[in-house]
Amino acid sequence: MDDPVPVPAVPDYFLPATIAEAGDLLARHDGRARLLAGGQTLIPELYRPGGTPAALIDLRRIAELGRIEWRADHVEIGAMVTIAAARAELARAFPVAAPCLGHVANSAVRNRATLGGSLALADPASEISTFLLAHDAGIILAGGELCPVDQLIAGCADAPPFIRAIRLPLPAAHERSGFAEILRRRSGGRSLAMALARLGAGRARLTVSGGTCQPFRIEATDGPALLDALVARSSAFDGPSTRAWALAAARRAIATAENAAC
Amino acid sequence: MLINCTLNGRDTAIEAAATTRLSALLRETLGLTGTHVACDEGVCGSCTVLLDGSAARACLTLAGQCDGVAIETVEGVAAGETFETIADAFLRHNALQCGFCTPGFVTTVAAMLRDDARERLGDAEVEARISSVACRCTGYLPIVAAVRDLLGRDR
Amino acid sequence: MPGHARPSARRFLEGRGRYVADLSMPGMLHAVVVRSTEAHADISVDASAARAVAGVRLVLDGGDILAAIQPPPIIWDVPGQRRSGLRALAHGRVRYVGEPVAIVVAESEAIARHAAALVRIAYAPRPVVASIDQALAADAPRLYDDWPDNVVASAEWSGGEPDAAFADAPVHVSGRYVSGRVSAHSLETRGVLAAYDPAQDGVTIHSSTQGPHQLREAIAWCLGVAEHRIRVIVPDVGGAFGSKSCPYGEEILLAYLALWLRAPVRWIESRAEAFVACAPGRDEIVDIELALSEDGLILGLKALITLDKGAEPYAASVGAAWAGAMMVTGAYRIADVHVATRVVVTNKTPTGAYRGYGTPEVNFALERALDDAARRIGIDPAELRRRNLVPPEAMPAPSATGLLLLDSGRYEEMLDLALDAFDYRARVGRARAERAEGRAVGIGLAFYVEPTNLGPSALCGMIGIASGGFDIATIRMEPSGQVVVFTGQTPMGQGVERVLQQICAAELTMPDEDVTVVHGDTQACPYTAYGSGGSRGTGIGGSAVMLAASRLREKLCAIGAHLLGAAPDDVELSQGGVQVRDDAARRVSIARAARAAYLAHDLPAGMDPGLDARASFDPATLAITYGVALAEVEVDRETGLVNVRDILFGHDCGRQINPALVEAQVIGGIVQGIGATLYEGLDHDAAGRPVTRCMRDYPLPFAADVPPIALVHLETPSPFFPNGAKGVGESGAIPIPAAIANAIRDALGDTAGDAVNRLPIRPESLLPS
Ligand SMILES: Cc1cc2nc3c(=O)[nH]c(=O)nc-3n(C[C@H](O)[C@H](O)[C@H](O)COP(=O)(O)OP(=O)(O)OC[C@H]3O[C@@H](n4cnc5c(N)ncnc54)[C@H](O)[C@@H]3O)c2cc1C
Ligand code: FES
Ligand code: FES
Repeated sequence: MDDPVPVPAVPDYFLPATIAEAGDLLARHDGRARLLAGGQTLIPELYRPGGTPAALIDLRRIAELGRIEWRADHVEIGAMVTIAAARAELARAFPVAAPCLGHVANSAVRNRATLGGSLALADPASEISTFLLAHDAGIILAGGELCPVDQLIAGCADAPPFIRAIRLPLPAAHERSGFAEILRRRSGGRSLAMALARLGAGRARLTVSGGTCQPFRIEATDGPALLDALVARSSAFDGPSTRAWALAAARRAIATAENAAC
Repeated sequence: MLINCTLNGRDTAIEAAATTRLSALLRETLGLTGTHVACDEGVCGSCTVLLDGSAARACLTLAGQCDGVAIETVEGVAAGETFETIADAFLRHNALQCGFCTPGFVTTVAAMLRDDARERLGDAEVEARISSVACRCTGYLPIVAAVRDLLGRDR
Repeated sequence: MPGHARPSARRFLEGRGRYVADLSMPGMLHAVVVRSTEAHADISVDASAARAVAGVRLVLDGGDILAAIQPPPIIWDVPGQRRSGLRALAHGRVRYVGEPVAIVVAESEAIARHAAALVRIAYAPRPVVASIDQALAADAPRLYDDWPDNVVASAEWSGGEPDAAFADAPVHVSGRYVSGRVSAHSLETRGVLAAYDPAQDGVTIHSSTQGPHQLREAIAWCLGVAEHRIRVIVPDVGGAFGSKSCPYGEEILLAYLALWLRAPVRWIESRAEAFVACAPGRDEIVDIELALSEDGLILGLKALITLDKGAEPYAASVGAAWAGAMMVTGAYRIADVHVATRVVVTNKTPTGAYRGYGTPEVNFALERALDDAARRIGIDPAELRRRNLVPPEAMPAPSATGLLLLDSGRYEEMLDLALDAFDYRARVGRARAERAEGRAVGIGLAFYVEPTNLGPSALCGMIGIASGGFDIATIRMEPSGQVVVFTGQTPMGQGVERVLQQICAAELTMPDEDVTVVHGDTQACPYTAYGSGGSRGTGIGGSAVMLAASRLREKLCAIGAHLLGAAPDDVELSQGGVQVRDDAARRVSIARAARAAYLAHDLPAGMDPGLDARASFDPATLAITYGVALAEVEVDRETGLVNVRDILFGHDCGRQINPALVEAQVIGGIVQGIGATLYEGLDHDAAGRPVTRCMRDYPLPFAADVPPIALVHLETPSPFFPNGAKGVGESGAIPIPAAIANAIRDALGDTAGDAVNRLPIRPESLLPS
């Protein structure tokens, strides 16, 4: 009888203290290492057949990635900031942060899941993508280069770049905003459609996603014009139900924004 | 890897593969079987533990992520002082049947009580937190009643 | 501790429940099942790579067990039904995604999983039968070459003259009502720990099951091992709802492995596995036709019940369809009835039992059709039901088919009670007003009957159940005067252990805490003919305990009288002592009488020493629990989402021995009913592949999804049970789908179309197309 075949080794586990160190580890493993943030998506993947990488690079000791820095016209949020923390921290400057990010997963997952991990996944039905896109976020990559969030959401299915932070321009003082999401159950679960509306002086913006359709932005002069523009683009959605839900979400988000105090 | 953590209030060093799920580590290595596994994907909440005081899914946490962290399981909560009031409310309202989901509610509620004492939680937040754990037996109404009682909210 | 609380509920809060997955043993091995990923194919299996992995102890495929493991017995075994002959592992051919193909045993679960992924299965696909329609098509591919078609069994029953009734009736309504495939989804998945028992050269199986004795029988049968060498132990069960009532192949395999390897082996089902391997429920089409008079009397009923069994009859076999045939006439007087059933196989996971087992499916059909009839005739739906309910003075009332006996109850009183409590008239008016303003608000109701206290044995025989319907209880009073009750019933959260404790303590006039209930061990506990299913724990298990306790009481009194120098007829048991009637001074405590029984120094002439009693109880009939559900809903026209604003549930389960536990069963059932009505569905693609395979895709209700629920009840003791109790385990799940669907229909009017006839009712189907 042949010698028994050993079970493959568990991956190496690294806890780098700096971005540079993490970057080196990534490069050294030549595509066979994975960055580990909150692990809320990655951990189940590790346990699927063939899902074991050669190494895991846990980013949580990199202090820089956990910072939130407020500047005059923007806020910079580290990739490792959890959704729960972002939700609390951003609430004052971004009134839609609480309702929008409060729809992600459940309260326990939000305590662990990070903005960076979520962005890297770029799940179409993601509140985080919708929120960041709606606010023209810029993504700061490990090397310091800045890339607009739409690029990341659109094109990173295979190998997301190493995200360091998210740069969010602060909304104008008079802006009113609203968020609405259509869910099968009040308690949550997969989103059927969602919309985030921002109404400013002479400029109205709507970010919508539904079903398998990545979030996209529409601009118009005011709320009603936004809805017309959305109807015109409704072929983007994968079916009549999603179209109806996206429209409903948009109407509600706009109504919330219109009723919001500025 | 050697994981140095605080487990239910006690400093502990555990030797484990970094990629072991915390749920498996607790249940299989440490014999703390109160942390239950019903889905392994973050949905059901039966495995909820407290990491540095916040509710987290043990099935979505790796042993490696626990180095330097304070872990509190249902067994730890049960040894703590608020437990009597939690147990009393759950028993009074008959808020458990098969008991499989119960540890997830106990840990979730323990964190809720502490957070609420720090800063009163809004109704939406209370509802969201109770709705982070699945129960197939009770239909939730008695659980909601027990939690609202504990928080001193009317129903 | 609160009066209703179960003696040991606290330990669950402390995290000290003991479920199968919490058990381990020295030297324990771990099993992982390799399952088919194809719905229908010929297969060949190559396990050599898996066997070569270090730490793997054994890999078995279907060929390896052909001689050793027989196909399992069928529990609902009607004459002429076809058998699959399938064993615990597929051999040569697979018939559903999830079918066990091989089992890997290794030193750790990680090794077993790794090796399992290396078992290579070569599939040569066959055409797939994905639905009832496909199964019944004239040129349908067959699942079993030796069957003439895909039909497991069919049958029909008639009463009166249905054809004549239909010919004469002025009003006809008909419809097709579909109950989707759903998962019982107990939070604890299945699990087994089997250990070799060297003392008996046998095996001890710890399993999360509702029927320890039934499992023991199945293992004995399949492995050809005598029953006394098999011991089934049931630790805490983390929910079951029917899905753990019939034996499974994995349980048989694990027993076999433990015997073969002479080692403990554990298998814990993953959630992903549970979605394809733990028997789901429903998946039934009910075609119903009603004939009515112009004033709303039901003159005739014709029904065709078609059950999709999935890939094989499985132990539960045709049961849900046959139970449906029994229950389809509901709470109503219908003189002329024809019911037909047929059960077909398709390339999906075999269905088993789930809360309600056949009754919710026919209730949905009948109660939806009655609503259509009321609309057609132009009378209020509650009024239409009232005109047809069986009155108390007509009970016990057999149905026209003779299949159902409505034993007792106050149906009309119940209807009135519930309508009043719901403020039905006012709500109907308000809903109409809201609709006039453009909101889609509606009110719906459904009456239901629930067959409980499953027995009598003779009836089981008549309807094809291959077991009896009785229970045995034994009670032992210890020399200290404390009592141990031994039962075949299994607690799984419903609290049966608490109820048995109460029954015994009441009969013996002792404090509850002096009674301990031992359950879940075939070695210690007496036989139950049907396990914990069919809502029979309190009515049948409880009646057996009550009878045994009253025997014990007689013996205690005889001893007490002897000690007091009184005649046995002159003493009574009260508040923990035997005393001479009306003479409190002449009294001995139970403890003293008990000690005397064990000392046996001075017992009445001819009396056996010791103090225990045994009784079996086989009921005279089923007990029919009944009630009514009312719902108010608002449908969001923009999104199709249904908001259930309020539910009121009225029910009568006879005498309530523990009202808190009754309420808990009802509410739990209602919320499962809401899930099945609005959210839950196990979907398949056109190729028969299951697409619902994780909890994120199976939206169970969570706390925020539960509407306000109000309960009202009557207590009409069943005259056929010593304790007057009927069962209540399935109640909530039965009428909720029809009540909500009727409310949605009311809210949307004709635009609801066919959407309200198919469960689940998802928002997609309620959007205007
Ligand atoms: C039960 C459940 C429900 C959910 N529901 C929702 C929902 O409603 N809405 C929603 O939007 N999402 C939902 N999610 C997804 C959730 O948002 C993600 O799991 C989470 O945000 C991922 O973040 P993480 O920090 O856990 O990432 P990880 O799981 O650690 O990583 C995810 C991926 O990102 C990569 N990555 C991590 N950090 C970086 C970085 N800095 N740079 C580049 N790549 C990186 C990892 O290598 C990995 O590929 C749900 C998840 C669960 C478990
Ligand atoms: S087991 Fe962790 S959330 Fe279900
Ligand atoms: S009590 Fe059984 S799952 Fe909650």
